[in-house]
Amino acid sequence: MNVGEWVTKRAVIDPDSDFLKEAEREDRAYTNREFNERVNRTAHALMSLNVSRGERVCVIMLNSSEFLEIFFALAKIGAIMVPMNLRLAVPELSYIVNDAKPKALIYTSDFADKVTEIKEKVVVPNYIRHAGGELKGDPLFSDFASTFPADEPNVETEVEETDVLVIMYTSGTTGDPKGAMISHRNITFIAVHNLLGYGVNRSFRSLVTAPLFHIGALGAAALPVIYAGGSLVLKRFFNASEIIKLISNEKINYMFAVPVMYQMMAEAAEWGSADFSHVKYFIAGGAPMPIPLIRTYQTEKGVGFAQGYGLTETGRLSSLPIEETIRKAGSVGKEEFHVIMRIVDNKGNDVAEGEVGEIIIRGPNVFTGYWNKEEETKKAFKNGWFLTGDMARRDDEGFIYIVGRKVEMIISSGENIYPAEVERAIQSIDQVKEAAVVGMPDQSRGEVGCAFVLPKKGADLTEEALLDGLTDKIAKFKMPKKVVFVDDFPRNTSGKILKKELKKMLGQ
Amino acid sequence: MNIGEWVFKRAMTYPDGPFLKEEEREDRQFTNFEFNKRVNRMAHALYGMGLKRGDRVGALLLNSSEFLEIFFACAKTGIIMVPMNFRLTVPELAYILGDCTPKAVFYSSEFADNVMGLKAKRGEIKHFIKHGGEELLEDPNVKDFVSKFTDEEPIPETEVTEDDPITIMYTSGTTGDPKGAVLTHKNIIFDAIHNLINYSLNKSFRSLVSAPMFHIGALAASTTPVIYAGGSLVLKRFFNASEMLRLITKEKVNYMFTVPVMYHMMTEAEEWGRTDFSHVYYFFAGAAPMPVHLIKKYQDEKGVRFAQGYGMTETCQISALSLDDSIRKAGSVGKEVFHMTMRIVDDNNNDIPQGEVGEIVLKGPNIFSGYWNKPKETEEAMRGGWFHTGDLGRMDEEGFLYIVGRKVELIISSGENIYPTEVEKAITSLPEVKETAAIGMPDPKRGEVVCAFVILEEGKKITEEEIVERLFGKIANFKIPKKFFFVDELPRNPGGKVLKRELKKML
Repeated sequence: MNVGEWVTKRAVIDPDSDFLKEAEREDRAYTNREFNERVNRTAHALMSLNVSRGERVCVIMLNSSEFLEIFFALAKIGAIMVPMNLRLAVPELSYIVNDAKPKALIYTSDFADKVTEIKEKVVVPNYIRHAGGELKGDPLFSDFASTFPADEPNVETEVEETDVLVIMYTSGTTGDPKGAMISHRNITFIAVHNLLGYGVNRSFRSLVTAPLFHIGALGAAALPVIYAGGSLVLKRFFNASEIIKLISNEKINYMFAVPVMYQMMAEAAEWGSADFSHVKYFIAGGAPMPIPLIRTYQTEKGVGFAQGYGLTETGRLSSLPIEETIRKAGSVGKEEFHVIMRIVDNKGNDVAEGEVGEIIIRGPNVFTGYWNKEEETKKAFKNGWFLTGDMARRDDEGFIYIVGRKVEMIISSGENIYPAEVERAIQSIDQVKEAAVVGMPDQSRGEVGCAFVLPKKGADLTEEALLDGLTDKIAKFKMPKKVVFVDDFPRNTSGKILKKELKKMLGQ
Repeated sequence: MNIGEWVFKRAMTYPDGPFLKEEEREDRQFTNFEFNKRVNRMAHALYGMGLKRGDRVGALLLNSSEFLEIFFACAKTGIIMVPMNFRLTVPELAYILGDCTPKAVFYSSEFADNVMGLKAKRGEIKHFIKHGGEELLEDPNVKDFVSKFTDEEPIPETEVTEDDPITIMYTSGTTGDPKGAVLTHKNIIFDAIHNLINYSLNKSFRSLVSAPMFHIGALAASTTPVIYAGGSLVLKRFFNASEMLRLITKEKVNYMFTVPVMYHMMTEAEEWGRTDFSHVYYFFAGAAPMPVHLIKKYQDEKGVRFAQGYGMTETCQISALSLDDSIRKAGSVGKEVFHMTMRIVDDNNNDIPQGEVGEIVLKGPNIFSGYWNKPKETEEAMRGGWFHTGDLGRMDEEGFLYIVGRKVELIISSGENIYPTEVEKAITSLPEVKETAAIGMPDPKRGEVVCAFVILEEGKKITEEEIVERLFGKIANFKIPKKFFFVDELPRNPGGKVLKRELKKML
């Protein structure tokens, strides 16, 4: 049993039904049978590059049919996809490529410049370009794959549910990204949880506008809908007006996005006249939906919101039913069907109801470990339980509320930022002696980073010079939105910087 | 991961949602929270009798809350439930108990006589627990027995995994002896998932369970997937067309599974005309194909459509024919379920060209783990890593599967499997009989019934009535031939083998 069988089976059961179409490229519209044939061609093409069971393929790609073709081709082969965050800076991307050691790197031509720089730093046997004009030397994906046969690939050994299918890199607490290994079984049960929790079925038509390299879009917007037999409309970039138009024209009845995007849609010119009567519900992730926004959708468009809580390492862990969104606002709901969740104190004992503790998890959706990082993997699990690092409490009806993180983390528009990685980048600038980064509330992004910087003696450092020094070292979304120069930090007796005090200085 | 978690999780997620009620006993009506507590008590009661992970518990039970309490108590503790067909006779039941050696047996008081007979034969079973009925026998009553235990979650010493067996279901064997198909937690989970994918089951489903739960059909089509999806059950002990119709209205039943004969009987009941079916999602028919006129009758008169499929005890559901295709593709059993791989092969295990007939072989997370205590039969059935169904099928150009027969002859009567050999063995055990051959004969109600050709010993005499009388108690009633032909000879091939095809022609 493996995820590659999904597209084979869809082609057998329902050959002529829609699989996907792209909003930006009209020639990309495929039935189940056509899509499966494309997956097979891609699988044969990748096998010709010595991509075999267990080997990795990195991708830097916009949402596209090819992204999913590669995903399912690798699933059939038993190889591993490493989808990279296209917002990352070259040093970050290079770190990941070097860590994953792929047989091929496939990139959308929009990122050709970044790839040119990566090539200077890391050796990858094959580079393949997706779309774009005939400018660079790398072969084009479409030319490359189209020469191969459309029949099912024959793999030497059977791909099993415990095989790793995806490595998704997440920000690491220590600064280096960690690659979470997600198996076929994990993906299957992430999909099953969506069927059980939200009744996803073959009448679902999902708009995939959040980037597929994140677990949110892949694990909520795309895969469960494919599993259930529904269809997808892929969109490369978020644009509130275009999204609203697509919802009407394409009869989209389901989508996943972060609250900021739903806010922008409600503010778009097309909002008032848009018809949402065919929408089943929307899913919001990455941050809690503000109640006024939920009410706007409910009263003006009759659309309810499903919310939940999830991690790259686990997919969705909990869901708040649509009928509870207002009564239980602020809660992330109750755990998914096959998830076993406990809230424990520092000694690993269950806390009393209502008290705060760390969420620990077991279940078929929990990842298998961090790629090449035995130590971190060991630390992340205790007696078979995955330690999420999230602090939470449960109310008397069993609803879960997330109250913070064991290790500080900033969530900005759904992207995780660990202060340590930003601090390391700032401290790598010559004139900086020490830096501390904290999260700061932001109306549209939820949170943004704020950096407190202690310059070296006699240094002459401006905010502009500091930000300049960070460009291309870390992704844009990680850049501090505010810089405060200080003479010293509030510290505890052993010299550790007190971030709580820094937050107070920001008026929090 | 195990299926004991299902009832725990339902109690936590929707504590006040309905879990089940019984039609015949009004006090049996439980919420998710209450049902989970009852399961926990039952689990502690099983522990109290000394059962542990891997041990078996037998059940000779009518459809009841207790049946499912035992099932989920077994799931939580890793104990294996052996639900037995209460239509079997004492010798047949004794064989099963001797094969799976349970430490305890639960039985409905209706079957007390059979249990008395079993006790005489099997002294090794320590605990007999009676369900319902008067306080006549010495065995303790389930209710009294269980109520003294705690309702806390049981904590098994070792973790119950998805690869643990949850049930052994006995099916007729080709050689005469029943075989126990061992189904794991994983099998039941994926069968439920297949139902979700194919039919969008969800928590608004309310299923009427009237087919007996000791059969895979009732358990794995009308019960476990609905529980998994968060829906609720109405349990009924016996099928009665009029009562079914009343229940569908009164209990707002929107889903049920049964065999075509029973759907037919419902249309002939007096209440049919005035029964409101407007809330029904669809019905599920199994074990035999639904006649097209019957599908049309439900569709035209009640707006109710039919899901059909094909399945076996060893596999749960194998294929599904969607509601949309029930008339256009009448006679087909649909396409294979999502996580299963199906091939149609020739005698050398090679795939045959599309449209030709071959044996259906299967692989997937819903395929059972083997036959209890029968390594040879298991190996034979699983050769090459594929489960050999023994069913002959072909696929049309759109990929729809049609069942055309069996490799080894089998009679299916009202959803019960009957292998001719077991009937023949019983008849030839009569001293007056020299030889016999049993075949299936079409029957408008039951699909098929058994018909026997009998050659008597020279000079011996026995009537049809006498044979039937002497078969009672030897084989289950549904296996007893409905028609006998006394003959002097049987048609044979040059090797002496009886030609059953020729016998069928004689009918």
